[in-house]
Amino acid sequence: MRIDFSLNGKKVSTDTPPEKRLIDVLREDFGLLSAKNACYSGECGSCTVLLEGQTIPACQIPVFTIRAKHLITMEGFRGTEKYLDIINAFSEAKCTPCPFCFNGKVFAVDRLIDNRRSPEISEIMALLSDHACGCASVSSFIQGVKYAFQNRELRGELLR
Amino acid sequence: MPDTHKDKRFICDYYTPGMIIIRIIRASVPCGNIIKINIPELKGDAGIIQFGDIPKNRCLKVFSKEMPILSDGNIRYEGEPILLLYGSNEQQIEETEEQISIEYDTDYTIKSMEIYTEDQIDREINYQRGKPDKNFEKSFRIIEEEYTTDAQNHYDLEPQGAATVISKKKLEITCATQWPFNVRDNVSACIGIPAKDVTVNVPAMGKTHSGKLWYAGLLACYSAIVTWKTKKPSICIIPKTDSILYTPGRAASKFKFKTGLDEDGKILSRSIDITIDSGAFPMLSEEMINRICFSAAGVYSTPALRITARSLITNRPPSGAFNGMGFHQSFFATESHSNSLAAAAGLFPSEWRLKNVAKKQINLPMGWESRKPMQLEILLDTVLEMSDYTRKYAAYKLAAVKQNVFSGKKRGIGISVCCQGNGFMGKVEENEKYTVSARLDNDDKLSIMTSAVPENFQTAMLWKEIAGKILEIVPADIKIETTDTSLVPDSGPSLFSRNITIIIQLIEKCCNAIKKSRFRLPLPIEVKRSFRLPRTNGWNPETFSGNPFPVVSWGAAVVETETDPINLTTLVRGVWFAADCGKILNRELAEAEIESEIYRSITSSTIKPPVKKYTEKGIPLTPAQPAMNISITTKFIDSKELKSGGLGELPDSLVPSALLEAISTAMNTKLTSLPSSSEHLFRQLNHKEKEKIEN
Amino acid sequence: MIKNRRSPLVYYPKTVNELLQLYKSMPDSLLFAGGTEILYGRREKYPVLPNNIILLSRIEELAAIKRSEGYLEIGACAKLNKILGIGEHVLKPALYQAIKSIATCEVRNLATLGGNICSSYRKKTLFPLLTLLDTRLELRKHGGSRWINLKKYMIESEGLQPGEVLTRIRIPFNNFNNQAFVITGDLKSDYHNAMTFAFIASVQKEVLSDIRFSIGFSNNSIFRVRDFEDALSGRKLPIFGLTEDPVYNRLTTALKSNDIEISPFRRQQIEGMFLSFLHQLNDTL
Repeated sequence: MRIDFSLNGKKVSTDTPPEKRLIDVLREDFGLLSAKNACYSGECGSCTVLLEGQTIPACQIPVFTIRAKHLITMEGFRGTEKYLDIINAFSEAKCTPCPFCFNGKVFAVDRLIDNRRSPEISEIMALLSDHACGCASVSSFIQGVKYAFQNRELRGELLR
Repeated sequence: MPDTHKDKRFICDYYTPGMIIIRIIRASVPCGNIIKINIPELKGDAGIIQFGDIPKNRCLKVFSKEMPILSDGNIRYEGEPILLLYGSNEQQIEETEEQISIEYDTDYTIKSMEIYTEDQIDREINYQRGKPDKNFEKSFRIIEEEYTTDAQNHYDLEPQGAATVISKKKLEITCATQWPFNVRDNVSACIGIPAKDVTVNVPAMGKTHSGKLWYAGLLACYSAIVTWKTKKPSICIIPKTDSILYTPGRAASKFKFKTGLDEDGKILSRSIDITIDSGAFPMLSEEMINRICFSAAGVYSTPALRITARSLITNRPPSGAFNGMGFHQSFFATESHSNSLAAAAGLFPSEWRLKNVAKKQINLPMGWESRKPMQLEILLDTVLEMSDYTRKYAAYKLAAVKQNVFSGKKRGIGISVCCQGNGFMGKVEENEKYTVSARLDNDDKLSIMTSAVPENFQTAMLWKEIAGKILEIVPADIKIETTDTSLVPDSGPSLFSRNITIIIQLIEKCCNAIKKSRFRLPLPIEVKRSFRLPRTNGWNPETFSGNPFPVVSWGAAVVETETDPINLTTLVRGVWFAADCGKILNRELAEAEIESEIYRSITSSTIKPPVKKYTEKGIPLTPAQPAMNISITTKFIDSKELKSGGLGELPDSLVPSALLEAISTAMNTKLTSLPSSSEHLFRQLNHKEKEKIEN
Repeated sequence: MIKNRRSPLVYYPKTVNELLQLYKSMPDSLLFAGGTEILYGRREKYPVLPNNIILLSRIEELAAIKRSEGYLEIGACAKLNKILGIGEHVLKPALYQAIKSIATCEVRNLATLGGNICSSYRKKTLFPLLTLLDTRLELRKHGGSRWINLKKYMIESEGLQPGEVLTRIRIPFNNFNNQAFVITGDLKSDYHNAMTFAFIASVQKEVLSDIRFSIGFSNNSIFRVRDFEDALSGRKLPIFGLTEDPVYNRLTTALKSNDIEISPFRRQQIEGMFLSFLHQLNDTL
């Protein structure tokens, strides 16, 4: 089945069995390896991508559901100002998530700090519970998220 | 910084369409014989590999132990690999997989740890020091108790697997392993080609907790066999569920203690009976049982001691190293037992520990020959002070007696003390000639060659910093070659904090040797160094005498909890942690490691994952992490040890007993098995209630 | 001999009428909303799906959320996170908490309320609470529609008929000024052993005018003792010493009845949870 959609800002098309999971289409048909295929159950968060601006687990949907939709993966997100808000904050807080959970955590933090209010500890802990990996220290991650929010807020003010 | 992550490739990133995919067909019964395998007609390039199709050596070897690469017709555990199905069309392979059926003859008794026979015993140790029986006679009171720990699975985030390609008539394996040379040797033996014709590359890996020690070799063999047969690149990645259920996890264990105390509450004599479940193939049972025996009596002065320990072969998946390989189980049991001893002696758990901890190494249960003074009292005092333990314990103990569901959440506090043995026990390090080499090139750039796999990029950074300091080179000019067995010497498996203790020592030795001849000899200079135990160690595995470890780390912790008396769930309020682990190379890294291990340990001590087959829904696939923000305070005391010791295993040895003691204090009960879920706590409370009524 | 599996045909209706027509002509097709339940726990790269799939997410009407004077009306395909976006002050604490307890935030961006109700597996999360709130469902099929109480929907003969689709969920606004939704165990890592408790009560002028509570169990059954609730409603607060009251037997007898198997641990938890909620009500005075 031919499926057209927008991937990282470009119109793309793929001919693939419609039941194939989105994560495998991204990795195999487009060679985008940032999102990982680990649990196939939507539990670990390492396959997170942005579908119409919303974070979703790419392992939980067959590719037919994304026809004519806009999709952003870490490859497209990397280099954006939103990405830099987070990556600079992580660097400042000495938070170093491993390359496997990195994708999911960055997208989840982006979703959390977009709320226009400072994230609460309980929200950050819930995020960590959803993206449990055990690689980075919890306290540095909490600090990283707070800095990321400050970065975004500051940039928002500058834009205004 | 994390932005470099874009170049990191995990094993799952090595798949490209067109590669041969391998699926493992596993046994669905725990024991029995295969009668018949029904295989549908295969299409295209699909094929099957069974035990008889393995070209040469059909067993995987780890030290002196072996296990069949595929089942030889006899099933020894549920999930044992029976055959490999391969082909390049994944959709077709998935369809074929569904249609393969296997018939078994299962008229056998399942071997378990609970009731065992003599022929199940793989290894038994009988150790005695002093005169335990005589000392029991002299004892003022004798306390007998039993503790159990369950098997524990790995919940690694990334999948396990291996990929193989043939390049210039050589087999190139890419495999997420902590022991590349073991993979190389096993692949070369199984295919029947010289070891020099096999190279092993290690891709990026997440935190492993020793789950990728030897199991990766099995997957590498599968991939190598298929590539050897088809002459095409192949990849074998196991599903997450298989990885959880069959990756060698932590062995279940049972401890029976009998301890005699004098009038002051000091230990006079101890007798410990230990049983561990090594699973169907006891691949590492020798090291495991030695480590368990070594740590079973804790870090207390013990004038007389008797230990009987056995590792059993059962119809469970093989057990593996898993962080500490026995220290975790031992310290949970012995530290929990210490709390009962304190109660029997009428002392606070902290007081009893301060009274009984060994002051010199020679007073330790196993009586190390070294007379180095120890700092256990300082460690205990540090955590007691940081946590305000004594006041809290007294208050919580009092409050616990007034049991009322509506009087709010119940607080409790627990303490524990332990040690961590870094590196293998005794001569293994020396006998295997594990080596690191370094080369200073003409352009003053340094290359460090080691097969040790760094846990994360910080470990590699640490190595660079240390080498850079000695040779006065900036880390940017140092290259660490770790990933290809054709370029690096065998530095042994990466576990037991060897990357910090052994590998760093070897890097230092190499760099110091280069430094000496740097301005005397022309560049490039290449130096190789192998590990040697200090002469003073003199560990004798037969008599359990001497000092078995190159470096030992020590730790103490206090855990404070809050338990909901209605649903019996527990929230950890705080953890206070003190350690003496030699020279601290990077404080931030050390604290981060301790913090993440504390979180993991709390989860595994209180949540009992449901054991299910992968076909059932609801098996948790992620490393569960409690959504609670725990206040963790860490302090490293000034160490008398000049070398660096590991610390990653300390939380797993300290937290479980302290946590369960805290819950026990809060709920006025005694928890004796690990993990202890809320259901378990209820059964315990209910049992106590019944006993009260009967009396 | 392996037959080649046929890839499914996917239909993308844009209106409810299109959907109903399609479903009538292909009653065996799979209605695909968020898809989280369909692929959950399956490890195949190419999951076997029915030959015809009707994708519901393109029908705007099904994702709409409306507020009227008396109720909140949620389209069956409204994503759970979108519902949370309405805010806790509208949803009320119990429903807000209940939705938030479902899966991860990423999954809630896909999962729908209709999916949660129609799933045979996830009865534990929202069902106990939605039944207490007198939730009604709109079931439509080509040429007709009906409104049904959620409780009735659970009875097999009353549930979805062939060709019928769940289109709207109507939750009446209520004046239960005391609410709680509590989970024991971990729904995410140990769904089977976790239990959910939903409590709602209305307290007016120190009188407990209405109290309801229900519990979601491991086997997806829901526990509720109506006669016990009725006996308590209308009583003056504070209520002390309820366990000594003969009325309390209604609860304990129901817990011990053979209809539902409840372990002693669960019994204690349920009683404890209820009494603790009552305690909270006493404290509101």
